[in-house]
Amino acid sequence: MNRKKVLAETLPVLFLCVLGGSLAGYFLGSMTEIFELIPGLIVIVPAIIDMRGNICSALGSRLGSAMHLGMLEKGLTSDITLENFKGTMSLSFFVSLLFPIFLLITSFFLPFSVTWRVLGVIALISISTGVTSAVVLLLVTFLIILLSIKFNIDPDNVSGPVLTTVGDIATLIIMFGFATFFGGLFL
Amino acid sequence: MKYHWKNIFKESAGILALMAFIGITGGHVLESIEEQLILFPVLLFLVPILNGVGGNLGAVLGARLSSGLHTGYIEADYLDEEVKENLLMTLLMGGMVFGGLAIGVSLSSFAIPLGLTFTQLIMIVIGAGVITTVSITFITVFTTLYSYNKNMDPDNVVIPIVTTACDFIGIVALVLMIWLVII
Repeated sequence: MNRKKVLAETLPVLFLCVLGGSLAGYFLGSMTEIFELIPGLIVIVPAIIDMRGNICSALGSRLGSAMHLGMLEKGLTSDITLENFKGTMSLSFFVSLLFPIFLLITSFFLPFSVTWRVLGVIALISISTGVTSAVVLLLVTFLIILLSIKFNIDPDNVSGPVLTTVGDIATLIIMFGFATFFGGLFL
Repeated sequence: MKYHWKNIFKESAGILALMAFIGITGGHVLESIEEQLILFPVLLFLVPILNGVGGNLGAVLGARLSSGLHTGYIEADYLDEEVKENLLMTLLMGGMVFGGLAIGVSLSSFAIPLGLTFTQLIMIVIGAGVITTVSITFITVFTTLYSYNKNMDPDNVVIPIVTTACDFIGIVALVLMIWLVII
C-alpha cells in the first residue's frame, strides 16, 4: 500500500467534506418553512440523504473494484455502465418507495398525526427526489471514475467522501424543489 | 457478468431497507432529544460532521479493502499485513481530521460564544472523534471480511452498514463526551 498516495488523495477530500457538510447543514437550516408546511417530512430527511450516499458510495466502490480488476481498461464500457445504471436506479426507486411506508409504520413516535394526504405528498416527494438525485449522482460518479483514470487517482480513496458530500447538497436542493412544488400543489 | 443489475439489486436491497428503517427510527430518537441538543448549539453543528467524516473514513477503508479482496492482494484474514496497514492508516487519518476540526471549533469559541471553554471543546471533539474513528474502523474491517467470506460483494453491503452505524456512534460519542467533560 502506498501510504503517501492514500494520505495525499484522501485527506484533502475529507477536509473538503467537513466544509461541504457544514454547507448542507446551512441549507437544511434555511428550509424550516417547508418542514412546517409538510409535517413528518423532517423525519425522513436524514434517511433520504443517508440512502442517497449509501447507494452512490456503493456504486463508486463497485466501479473502483472494477477498475482494479482491469475491467475499465477500455474506459466505462456500455455494459458496465448500463448494469450499474439499472442497479442504482432500481435500488433508488425501491428505497424511495419504502420511506413513506416506514414513516407510516413508525408514526406513533410522532407528537402529531400524519394525514393520508400529507403521506401521499411525502411519497411523491420521496420518489421524485430519489429518482432525480440518483440520475445526478450517477453522472457525478461516472465523472469521478473517468477523472480518476485520467489523472491516475485511486477512486477508492476519493469516491466515497466526494459522493456523500455532493449527494447531501444535491439531494437537499432537489428535495426542496419537489417539496415546494408538491406542497404548493396539494397542501 | 459480475455486475448484472439483478445481482446488485438482490445483494443491496435487503440491507438498504433494513438500514433505512433503522435510519428513520434514529430520526425519531434524534427528534425526541432535540431539546437537550439545543442547549448546546455547537453539538447540533458537530453531529452531521462527526457522522459524515466517520462514514467517509469507513467508506474509503471499505472500498480499499474490497478492491484488495477482489484483486487478491488482500487475504480475508484479520492478521493480513495489508488489512492491518489499511486499518492503521484509517486511524491516522481520523486523528488528523478530528484534530484539525477540534482546533478549528475551539479557536472559533474565541470569536463566537459557544457556551463552552476552549479546553472543554478540544476534549469533546477529540474524544468523540477518537471513539467514532476507532469503532468505525473496526466495524468496517469486520463487515468487509465477514461479507466477503459469506460470498457477498462487500462493495454492496459494507457502506450502508457502516454509515448507519456511524450515525448512532457519532451521537452517542458526543453525548458521552459532553457528559464526561461538563458534569
